[in-house]
Amino acid sequence: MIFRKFKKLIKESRREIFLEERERGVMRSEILDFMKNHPVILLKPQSFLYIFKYSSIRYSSAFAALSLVIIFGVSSAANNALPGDVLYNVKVGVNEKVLGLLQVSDESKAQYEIKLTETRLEEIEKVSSKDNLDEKAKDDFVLLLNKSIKKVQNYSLSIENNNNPELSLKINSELEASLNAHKEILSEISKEKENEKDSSVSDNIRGLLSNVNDNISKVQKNRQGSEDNVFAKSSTDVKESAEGKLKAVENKVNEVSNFIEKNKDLMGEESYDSAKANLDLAKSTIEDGKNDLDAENYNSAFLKFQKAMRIAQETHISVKGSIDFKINVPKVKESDKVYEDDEIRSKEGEINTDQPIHSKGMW
Amino acid sequence: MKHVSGTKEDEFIQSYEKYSEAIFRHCYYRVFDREKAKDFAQEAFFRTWKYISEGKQVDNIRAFVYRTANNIIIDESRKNKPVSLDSIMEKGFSPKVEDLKFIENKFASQKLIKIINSLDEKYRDVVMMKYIDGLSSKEIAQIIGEKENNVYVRIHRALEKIKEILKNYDIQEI
Repeated sequence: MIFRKFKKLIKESRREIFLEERERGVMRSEILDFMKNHPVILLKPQSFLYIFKYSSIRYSSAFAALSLVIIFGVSSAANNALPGDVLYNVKVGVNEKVLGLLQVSDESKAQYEIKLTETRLEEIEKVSSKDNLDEKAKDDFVLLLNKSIKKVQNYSLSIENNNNPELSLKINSELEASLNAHKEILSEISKEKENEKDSSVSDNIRGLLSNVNDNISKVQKNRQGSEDNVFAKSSTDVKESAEGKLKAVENKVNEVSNFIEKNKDLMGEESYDSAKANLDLAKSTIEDGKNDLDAENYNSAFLKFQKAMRIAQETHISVKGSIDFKINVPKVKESDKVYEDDEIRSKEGEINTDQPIHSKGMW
Repeated sequence: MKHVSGTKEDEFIQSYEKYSEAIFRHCYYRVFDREKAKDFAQEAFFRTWKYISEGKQVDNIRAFVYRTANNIIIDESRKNKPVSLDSIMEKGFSPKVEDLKFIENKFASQKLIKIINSLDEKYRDVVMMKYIDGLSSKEIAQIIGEKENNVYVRIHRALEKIKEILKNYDIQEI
């Protein structure tokens, strides 16, 4: 009897101490960011032995084990393949599709497609810098790139329609940061190739850049649409998201700052100064957001923290590019709508906050 | 977590979905501070992922996250003065309450904390892990680094003590 009461007490207390859906979402999103910044370190050649040692393969027949080793081996080796390599089709047609099937929620699917977009852009940079970007490779890249970006936009739209513009904004911002940073890297590579005898590589890069620019305009428009929707939400509904975003952006800025300092010698003075200036911009945007937070303007605070996050993400990718391709880190260009306090009031009067403005800016 | 790279992310996120609530509660009952509990739970997942991403082996991810959360809490309590139950009560006890029934009930969790805090630390931990977190004795043994038999003994003794406490006080008045 006594223990029954004790267990009842435990059951009831379990219902009192819990994470709200929003808190779980914020935490999940921060964990996903962390995972993205700390990707799995792929085991090098010894990975075959590793798989053999630790998996159940050793208990299978020799034939099955050998088959699996070959399949995993091919699949694993394909991960680093570039267009033109024999295994590139395995990478794009098998590995990436299988991993894509494992993504469950719209958010994880969108994040996965952003990762693929980045992978494509990094491949383009590597291939271009090695003078291997022919017209067919360029067309293939454009096709794959557009496909992934389109998917990100569709998932983000679905998230927005589920009345979660904060998450949709995060996705659009991340994609925009990545596209912006890689556009600058590609454009630097293109400039270097302009003086070479064979100008076809430079022409092909320019063709690609035009496609990336078109995508940036669309993503920017969508991001601004998500910002409008965040802005239209009731301020108290955005409070926790704003507080969570502040923690996330502070972590990101610290991470990028450490990365810059660690690689200072590899970057060159000009790049180092630009990267620092970008981070200073992110930091001052955070400070503005904190002022909004103190003034209980949570929507505005959230948007500023997200903007600072975008600057930090873009800077991170630019610094990596500057190290890999010995090019300069560009200053982050601002392309933001400024939300004023008056606008907050007028918007609250105009917009029905129950309805997300998902049609705005989406394609 | 014995699969090839690529499925690790997915498995980890599924583990987060499954255990984040319980890990948060585990931290909450040790620090009695909602914000800190959220931070500690998140940090436990960060550290676990970092370990996995470095290619290290985790056989029981649930037990691993708990052990990591425990280590974070221990580190934190070494840095700061431990929080007394009295100071929590003075500060005001504020769990998230969705249902007015709990207000009438004077917070089940508040009563539970009182009972659990009457126990010695080594008994408190195993009781909480067994009954609040729903962990198996084997998992508790992995987390606290003791033999499974010792865990059984501790749980048994802890329950005897709880019985004593509950005999002396009517549970409604606690």
